Amino acid sequence: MRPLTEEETKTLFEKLAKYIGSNIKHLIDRPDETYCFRLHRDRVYYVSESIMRKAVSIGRDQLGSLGVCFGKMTKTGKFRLHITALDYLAQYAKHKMWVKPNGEMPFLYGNHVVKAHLGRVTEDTPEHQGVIILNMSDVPLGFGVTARSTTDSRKLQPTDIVAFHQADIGEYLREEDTLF
Amino acid sequence: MGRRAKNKQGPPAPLPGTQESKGPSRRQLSKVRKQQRLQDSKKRSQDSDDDSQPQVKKIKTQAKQNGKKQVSASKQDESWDNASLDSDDELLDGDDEFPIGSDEEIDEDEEALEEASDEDDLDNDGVFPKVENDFLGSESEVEEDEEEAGDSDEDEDAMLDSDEDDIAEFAGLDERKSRKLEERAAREAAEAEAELRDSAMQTNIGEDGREFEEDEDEDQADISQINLRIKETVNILGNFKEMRDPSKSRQDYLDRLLKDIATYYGYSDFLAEKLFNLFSPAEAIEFFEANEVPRPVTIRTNTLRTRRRDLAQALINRGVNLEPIGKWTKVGLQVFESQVPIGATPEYLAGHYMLQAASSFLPVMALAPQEHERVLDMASAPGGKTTHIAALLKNTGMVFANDFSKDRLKSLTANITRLGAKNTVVCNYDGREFPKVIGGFDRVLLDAPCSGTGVISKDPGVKVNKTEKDFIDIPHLQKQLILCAIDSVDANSKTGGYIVYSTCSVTVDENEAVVDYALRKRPNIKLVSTGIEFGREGFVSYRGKTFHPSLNLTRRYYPHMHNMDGFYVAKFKKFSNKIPKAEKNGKGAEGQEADDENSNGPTTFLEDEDQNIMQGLYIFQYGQMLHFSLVHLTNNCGDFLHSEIFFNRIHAKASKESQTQEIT
Amino acid sequence: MDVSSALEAHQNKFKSIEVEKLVPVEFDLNLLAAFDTNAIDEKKLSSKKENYLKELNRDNAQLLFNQIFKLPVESTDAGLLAKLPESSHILPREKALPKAKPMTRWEKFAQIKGIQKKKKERMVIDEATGEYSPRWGYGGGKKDKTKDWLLEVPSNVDPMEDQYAKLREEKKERVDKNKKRQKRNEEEASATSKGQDPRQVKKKQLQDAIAVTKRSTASLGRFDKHIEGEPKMKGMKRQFAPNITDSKVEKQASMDILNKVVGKNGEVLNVQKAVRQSKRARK
Repeated sequence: MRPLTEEETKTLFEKLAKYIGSNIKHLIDRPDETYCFRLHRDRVYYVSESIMRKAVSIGRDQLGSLGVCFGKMTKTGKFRLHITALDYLAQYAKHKMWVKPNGEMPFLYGNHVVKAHLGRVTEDTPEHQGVIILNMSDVPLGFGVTARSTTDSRKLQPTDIVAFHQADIGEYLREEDTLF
Repeated sequence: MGRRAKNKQGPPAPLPGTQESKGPSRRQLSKVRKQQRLQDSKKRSQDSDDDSQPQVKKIKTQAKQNGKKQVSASKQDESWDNASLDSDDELLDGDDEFPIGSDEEIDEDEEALEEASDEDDLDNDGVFPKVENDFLGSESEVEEDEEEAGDSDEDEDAMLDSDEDDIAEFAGLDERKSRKLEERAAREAAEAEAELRDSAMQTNIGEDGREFEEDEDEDQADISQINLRIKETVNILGNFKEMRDPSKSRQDYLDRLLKDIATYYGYSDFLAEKLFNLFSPAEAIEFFEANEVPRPVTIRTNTLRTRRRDLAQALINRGVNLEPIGKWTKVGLQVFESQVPIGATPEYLAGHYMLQAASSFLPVMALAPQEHERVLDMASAPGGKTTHIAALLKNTGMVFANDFSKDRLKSLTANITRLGAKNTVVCNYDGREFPKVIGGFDRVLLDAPCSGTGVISKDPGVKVNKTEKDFIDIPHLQKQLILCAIDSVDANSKTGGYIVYSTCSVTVDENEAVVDYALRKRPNIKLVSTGIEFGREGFVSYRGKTFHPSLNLTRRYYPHMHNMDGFYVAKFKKFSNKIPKAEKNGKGAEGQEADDENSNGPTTFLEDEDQNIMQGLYIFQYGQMLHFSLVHLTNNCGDFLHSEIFFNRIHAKASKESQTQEIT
Repeated sequence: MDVSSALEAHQNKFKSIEVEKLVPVEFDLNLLAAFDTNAIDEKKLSSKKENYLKELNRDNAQLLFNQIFKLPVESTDAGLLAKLPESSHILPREKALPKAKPMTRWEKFAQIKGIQKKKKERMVIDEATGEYSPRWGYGGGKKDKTKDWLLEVPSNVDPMEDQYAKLREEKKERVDKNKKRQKRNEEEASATSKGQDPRQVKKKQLQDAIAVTKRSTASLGRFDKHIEGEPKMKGMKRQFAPNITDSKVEKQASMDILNKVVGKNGEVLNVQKAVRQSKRARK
């Protein structure tokens, strides 16, 4: 476990900014407790400082995880967001997309969101913008990247993709081995 | 009375007196049926056809009962916290499974329900629908419906008592139930006969003895006969003076019974005896029977993400049939049937609930973590209890989730993150390293690794693969762990200083003995009430061993009593961080011998108790040899010296032990 | 004529050739040098500096001349010449004395065995031809017989074997062996001259070489099998910030980075939205 280097912090924030923009500052500067980002075995954890201080006692080999895993640093130095970050992303998301009940399961199996399944979407969402995908009862299901802007997507066919799948909560079952 | 309403928690078990009188006949009846079922299955191997047919039938019966179901809807509302009727509107939209009925009907049924509950159950702990009065009641109703479609609700209520006889058999889940229903229809005649014979048996004691005798000279009885004989033996043991065969001792009966149980239920002789000794003969049979039946599927609402009411609503909309488990928990739901896989719904993936056995709620409830506390879960995989703790902490404080196995760490982490516990640290230590790694916790939960004799219905492998050695090794490990757990707690904690020890095992070796050992080794702790009102008290003495009197504060749970896995919960309060010196002296007095005997383990854990276990074995072995040589001695006095030396040694050891025990 | 007074006057004009010194002055007449080791009178030096120094010089020069005139004299064509003695003075050495070369393995062995070095002539006579040839080096090798036009094939060897090739081979081996020893001696000498144990130096070199080869796989040796007791390879150690630091500093650092990141692409102006808003405003 170690703090992120400046370079790593930058890649992390750049990725997070795609989904929550400047709301990142609410992650760093919290009124309740001091929180920090820590890297452990390539994974970036977001954890309160008090927990981190206690977890220092745990050996490197024995420490499994702490706090919330945001994603992992790839070997090529990029950052990959994991579904485990969904809680915070959903909380601070700038753009959201709601899928209809019939689109829930296809998305949870890792498919893209097609126009036919699109329930609602935040107005003025630009193209290639990170969006949080929720079901109609506001349960976050995952996140993706818009294929078209909100205005453009109105003209699409029902089978056309409106958002590319990035991660979904089905990965808790499908990717359990690689995710954790 | 609606079918679902009957499934619900409430249907109280009969009063102690009435239960006594009814008990045996009901049990016997069920056994006859079971045996017949077994025979059937022997003749024709069961295939999937058996399953599909009854289901069709069941749907029909459901349709018939629609009128009654609305009651369940209303009843259900009562049991969710403050649920309002408007939720039912949604529930019923386009769903003919839950039609709304008139208010009058509801009232009627509620009255009926109350009546029934008044009559029936007071002593039942009300944890879960008890086996007998659970689905079975409804089962019999279904049958009634088929036979006499015109019957009114009131009639059924009136028949409740008579129905009780039938119900023990159908302790399982719905599918199973329907299969049985089918089978039962197929052999109604045989059943009637059995019933006749059964009642005859009850009324006529003389005949009983005769039958028993007939069975006695068999060599290779078939399963049904064994079952019959088990029943009879239990009967006789229950009323030994009057029903016994004067030529046979109680021990003969018991031996016979044990052997039969081992064959009939497929246990190893050793385990059968171990489990049998925990109960009275009649109850033991109930226990073994209950181990053949799966426990109900239960889920725990994740209060970090949702409320039970909302979750239930969401799941009902997905076609899941569920009810709250009982009054003792506000987060548990029991699933009766589901059209979707309950472990893959969007709600599950979103972490709104956790699939978790009802019994595993108990240790966390006993632990009762308070907000802003630091809690350690020593053996946490797969995370049900850990996330429960995190939920109770409302994501404040912190939870250290430890598990020994690295493989299980992944699913543990997955569950923790899925359920949105943000205050956890997952680590991978041997629990015995714990106070060294990090200590000073406010509360520690030790759900110790165990032999699993409480969850035989889940893992029948336990029946045969547990040996005598396991019952030495596992408690030894548990004792080490419990001491570590105790040492990891900070007694000066303002809100905490508690340790909860639990196992999913029912044997005394792994439960009371371990707790008693901890009490002796750590005088700075005491047992406190677990805070769960139901459950049987722990043994204060067991087969000649006397434990600390406060062990009655611990709780045992049995599959046949509470319809949850066999379980044990003990809660300690640590009132001082100092380990008093007397204990250390005691250890010193034990001397080198103790250390030598258990040199394979870390010395700190080498305790008189373990020594007893080890020496018990030696004594057993020596005893056999001694016996042999004494016999030899009577014939031929030559080897006398030898045996005497043996005897002296054993004697010396035994006396030394007893002395040290007195000191401690 | 009374010259005595004149002589006296003349004599008074000059100082006496007798000079008294507390410590006798040392001379190196070969270098025409005198070394006065007497202490300088500080009082006089400060009060009448010039005078005092002149006096001192004169006295010492007088002493030197006195000595010179005591030397034996030869009369030559050029006149009288004094014969200077050998120099008694030793100039101090500028550099330290060279250290003894570390002994080679052979030298050590010879020393132990008491083998003396024997000077051998460089040129040896070939008795058959009566010619001289160098024992080694350019033009040598006569005794190797490699240049002979005829070689005897021993009776017990393969007759088809090339005896010349065999000889060349043997010689090459000898040369190589010697080169190896020479190299080894040099290495050992350089190690001992630095005060290190040659064996340890060798060991370290070997391990370094192994480390290099270990890292020279595609995965930088990460997936290679490790031998028991194998020393851990030290890679480049990166330095990271300590885990527990002042939280305010850390927070500030993150905020700084965030400001850079978000300033760049976090809050990109949504052109469509802006256009729409301005349109609405106009209406």
